[in-house]
Formats: sequence, structure tokens, C-alpha cells
Amino acid sequence: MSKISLRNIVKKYPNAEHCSVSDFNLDIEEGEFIVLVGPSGCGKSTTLRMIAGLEDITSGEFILDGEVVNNVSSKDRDIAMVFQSYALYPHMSVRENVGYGLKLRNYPAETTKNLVDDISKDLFLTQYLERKPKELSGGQRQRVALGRAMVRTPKLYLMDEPLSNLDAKLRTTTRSEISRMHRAKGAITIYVTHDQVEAMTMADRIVLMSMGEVQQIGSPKELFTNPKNCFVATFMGMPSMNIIEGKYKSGNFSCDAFTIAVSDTDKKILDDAGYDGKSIFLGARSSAIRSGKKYEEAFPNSCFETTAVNVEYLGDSVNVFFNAEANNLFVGTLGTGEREVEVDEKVTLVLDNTKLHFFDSETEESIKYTINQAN
Amino acid sequence: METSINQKPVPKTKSLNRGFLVRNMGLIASYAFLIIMAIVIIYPILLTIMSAFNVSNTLYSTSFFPQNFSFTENFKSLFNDTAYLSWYTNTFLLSIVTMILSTIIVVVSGFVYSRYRYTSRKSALMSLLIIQIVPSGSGLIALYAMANSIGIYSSANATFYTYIYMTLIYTALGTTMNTLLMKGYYDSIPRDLDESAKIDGATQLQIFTEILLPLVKPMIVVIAIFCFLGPIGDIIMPKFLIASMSSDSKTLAVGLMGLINDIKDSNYNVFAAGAVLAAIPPVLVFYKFQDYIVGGLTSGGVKG
Repeated sequence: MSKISLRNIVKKYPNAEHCSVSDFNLDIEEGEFIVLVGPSGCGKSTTLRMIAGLEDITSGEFILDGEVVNNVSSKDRDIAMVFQSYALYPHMSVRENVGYGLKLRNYPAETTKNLVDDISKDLFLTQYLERKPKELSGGQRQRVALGRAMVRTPKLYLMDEPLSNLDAKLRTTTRSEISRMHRAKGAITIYVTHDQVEAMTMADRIVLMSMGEVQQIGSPKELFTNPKNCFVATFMGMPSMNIIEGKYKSGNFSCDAFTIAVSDTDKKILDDAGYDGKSIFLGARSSAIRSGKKYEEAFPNSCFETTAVNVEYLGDSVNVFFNAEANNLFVGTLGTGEREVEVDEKVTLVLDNTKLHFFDSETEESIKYTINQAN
Repeated sequence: METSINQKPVPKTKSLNRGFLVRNMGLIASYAFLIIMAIVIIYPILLTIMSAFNVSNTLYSTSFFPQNFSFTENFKSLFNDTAYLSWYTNTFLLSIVTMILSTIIVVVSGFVYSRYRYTSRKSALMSLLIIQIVPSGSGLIALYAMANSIGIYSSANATFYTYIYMTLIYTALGTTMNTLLMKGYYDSIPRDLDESAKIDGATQLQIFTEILLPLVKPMIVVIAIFCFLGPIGDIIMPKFLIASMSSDSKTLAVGLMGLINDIKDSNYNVFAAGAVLAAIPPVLVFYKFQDYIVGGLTSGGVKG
């Protein structure tokens, strides 16, 4: 029996035409770190707020520890939450802010003080304990918000984009801070973000949502290597996956920019699924597009010539952009040691055909998804 | 290739060295306006204070600086010849009770309008606005008739009941507009704070008393001051409702007005002395709470 189950959760606001969240199903095991990720307006925050009890659940069941808690008030659900805006109480000092939840739960003053002291030490807040939130920097406020949640040991931690107001460097350190705290506490954490990097780096399992619907649930690796559909494929990974429509015929995929031979395994899968002679989407991560002799020799049937329209230097790699068709800019990431490319230069690129993804051109579902899942 | 460039004639730059007056025209105009406004506001106050210390019996003949200066003379006659002390107590009791009642109502109703969603919410807010449109003076006759018909004037304790009656009226007047003000202030406090407290384990009552009330304190003070000043400044209603009563039962405004009502028998300097004394409590209140009146407390809790 899982610790938390969400069964057919639906959220529909009154007067709204569409459901904000439709048919959300998820079972969460003890100690899992779940990340809800998706573009803005996909229903991930609404889902979190329903779990927190801040929004009513239109239909479906939210089961916590074997009990349906749809109508249990937030304060009785034994949860802690970190808000995107931090929501620190402006009139209370850091100590009072962190200890407020304990005070309301009638912890003895001595215990409260010790717990607050411990968590502040952990979050480097000891010297700010008597300050008011407005006297703190953004990063410090964020740590207070984190401390306020972490000072208790609830059944469930909820985090609503807690890092989105921090600068890039602080985000990275706080990210590992949250991961560390999660490991130390071992309680279930549900984390909402629109940033796929955060999702990839922190999650045990990712729930990718779009338009109120769950697109795919799985480990970061599963979502990255075996995306269920085009949306998942393009959302996960940076730069996002290149997708192009083309024709598949007897082991060859051809589109405007190139014609390449697919690998033998892919050929078998596509032929078996009856896509021979049909139009399909090809998906290739930028890391599958390479250049240089080594790759040309390894994949002699999937080389093509193109013109670089833009080049981005990233230090240890280079992003090369080229037009695969009108309004479809492809990007390949060339590593060090591969040839240097200038803008407007003609260049021969190689598609690593062992790393390709194929999607049905109508449903946009991955053709290899079920087969990969079985392996 | 032809390289000649057509040189455009340089446009004449306007002389920047215009006279001082011309350059600072706007500034001078602003200062002139401000100075005139300041005089219009400050002169009557100064004149009142000055004549409070001047023993004479006309305001017209008096000069700005007291001719027959006396610290106490006017105040003595105020306390000896009129029921000033009782006007004073009447008025401030009325004001304080009104202030307490309306502030409590406003603080709670503002919270409800801001934080709860219910069917009649919109129409209730709308009606609060509409009530504002009707001038409060237009109901005076009705108020008098009402007081009469419930037997306030025929009762043994007519003065006491009239004051309770007036307290209720002022409280009602003080709640409409101020509820809207208060609601606006509650709205400016992010709901995230409520939700955060809710998750921390606070009940609705605790959210109201421990999170929101401390944050709306500046507005509570402002509204309390408004409600406190309302009855002090008002003359029309008490004049209507307590006109027939003994001198003891008057309010400050009505009583002082009585001193200068009669052209022949007016005593402007005693009136001025009474006005100066009456102004002291409001001035002290403003002085004490000026930080609240200006200040905002919410910055910092939510990242802007």
C-alpha cells in the first residue's frame, strides 16, 4: 500500500470551460521525491494546492496513509509547504517565523527553541534569528521559508517553485540543499517547477504535465531516454530535442535536409509497426548530431551536408544551428576535438542513428515507447 | 566615387542663458501657490490661538497680536460661565465609544469582505458604495422622527438615550466607507500568508488575530482616528437631536457654536479658547500615531 495515492483527481473551476487538472493518477511511495513539471498553466501548481488542501478537489480521491482526506483541512493534513513567494510573516522575527508551526502545535517552548536553533544552524541562519524578513536578502528569506517547513517532520513536504526567485548560482546551491534535507528527513516531497533542469537533477520520479493532463510519469532517465510523446521529448533536455517530419521507407528516413539510414533495430521496430512508406516524426537530441571523421566512419549512411546558420560557443562544446526545413532550426552539440564550425560554413554532420526517436505523425506518440519500456 | 557630403546648416540653438525668472517660472509658480495655500490654512489657526489669549469681546476689532494679553482670562470664563467641561466630556465619550464600536465592526467586516467568497458578497460591497452617494444630512428629519417615535425625548433619561442613539448613528456612518478602505488594505496582504499559516496549523481565528491583525494595524489606527474625529467635528446632527436640551447636554461643537451664534451677545475670544482646548486631543492623537498613519508594514514578507 502506498503512502499517498491520488486517484482520478479532477479540478474544474466554476465557470471554466476546461478542467484545470483532469484525471490525475499517482501513487507515491515512502521517501520519494516527486517533481511535478510542465509549462506554465499546465495544472501542476493546482495539483499541489489540492494536495495541500488549499483548493477543493472537484472529483477523485486523495488518499494519505490509507485514508481519504479530500475534506480534511490543511492544518490537519500534517504537511509543510514552501511557497514561491516564501510567504514569511513580515511582523515576526526569523525565529518566530520558523517556530510558528511548532507553537501552534503546542510544542513546549524549550523543544521549539532547540528545534529552531538546530534547523537555523543547518541553514546558516543562526545570526539572523532576531531579524525581520524585510532585513534579509532573497537567498536568506528563501532559507527561512525552507527552515519553516523543515523544522517540523510532517508526512509530506510540498514545494511550489521555491527556487524561481533566486539567481542562477544560488539556485544551484539551494537545489543541493533541498536534496540533502530530503535525504536527511526521508519524508515524501512533492516539488513543483517549470524548470526541467531542476526536475532532472532532483527527482526520484518526474510527473510531466501539459494542459492539465499527465503526459508521462517516470524517473528522469526514463523521461529523457524514452519519452512517451513529442511533448515529453521536447520538454525534457537542454537544448530541446530536434523534431522533423519525414518519410520512412525501407530503412531510410528522408526529409528536406537529409536522408539517413535508420539502425537495424529501429528498422525492425518501424517495419513491424507498419510504418513502412508512411510519414513519421524523427526526433534527435542535439547530442546525437556530431561531426568529424570518427562519426562519419561509424555512421556512414547517416551523414549529410548543411550550412551552419548560427554557432554558440559553450566552453567545452559548441552548438551548431542549421535549417532542417523552413522554420525548423536544428541544433547539434559538437564536443571538443570535433571540427570547428564557422557561421555560414558548409559542414558535414553525422546523425548517430542508434539514438534516434520516432513518433507517429498523427498522435505524436513515441513508436518505440512500449518496446523500450519492456526492455 | 563622390565623397562630398552635403553639410546641413546647423540649426540655431536657443539661448540657454535666459533670465533667472524665466528659467524658474514653474518653480516660482509652484511655490507661490503653496505659500498661498499655507497661509489660507495656517492663518485662521494662528488667529484662533492668538485671540484665545486676548481679552476683548469682538473678533473684528482684534489685531493679530493680542492687545490685552492674558493667559487664563478667557479660559476662566469658559469654565465659569459655560458648561464647557460637560460639553467636553460628552463629546469625547461619544467619540471614543463610536471609535471603538466602528473600528471593531470595520476590522471584522473588512476581513470578511476580503477573505471570504459568498453569494451576496458583490451586492453587499456595491450597496456599501451606493450608501456613500446619499449625503448623511438628508436623513436628519427621519432620524429625529425616529428618536421621537421610540420615545427618547419623553423618557426620564433623555440626554443619555440621545447620546446612545447618536453613538449608533455615528458608528453606522463610520463603518460604510471605512469597511471599503479596510477591505482594500486586507486585499494588499497576500493570501499566501493566510495559506502558509493554515498549513502551519493555524485556525481561521488564529490567522485573523495572529497574522492579519498585526499587519493591518496601520490601517486600524487610521480608521480609528477617522471614527474618533467624526463626532467631534459634526455640528448638524447634534444640533438637530439635542437642540431642545439643557446646556449641560450639548456637544462641544454645538456648545461653542452657541457662544458666537448671537451677534449681540457673542464672545469670540472665549469661543477661540474653547476651540483651542477642543483641538488638543485630536492633535495629540495625530502626533502620537503619525508613523502608523504614514507607514506600511507589509514590505519584506513576500518578495517583490
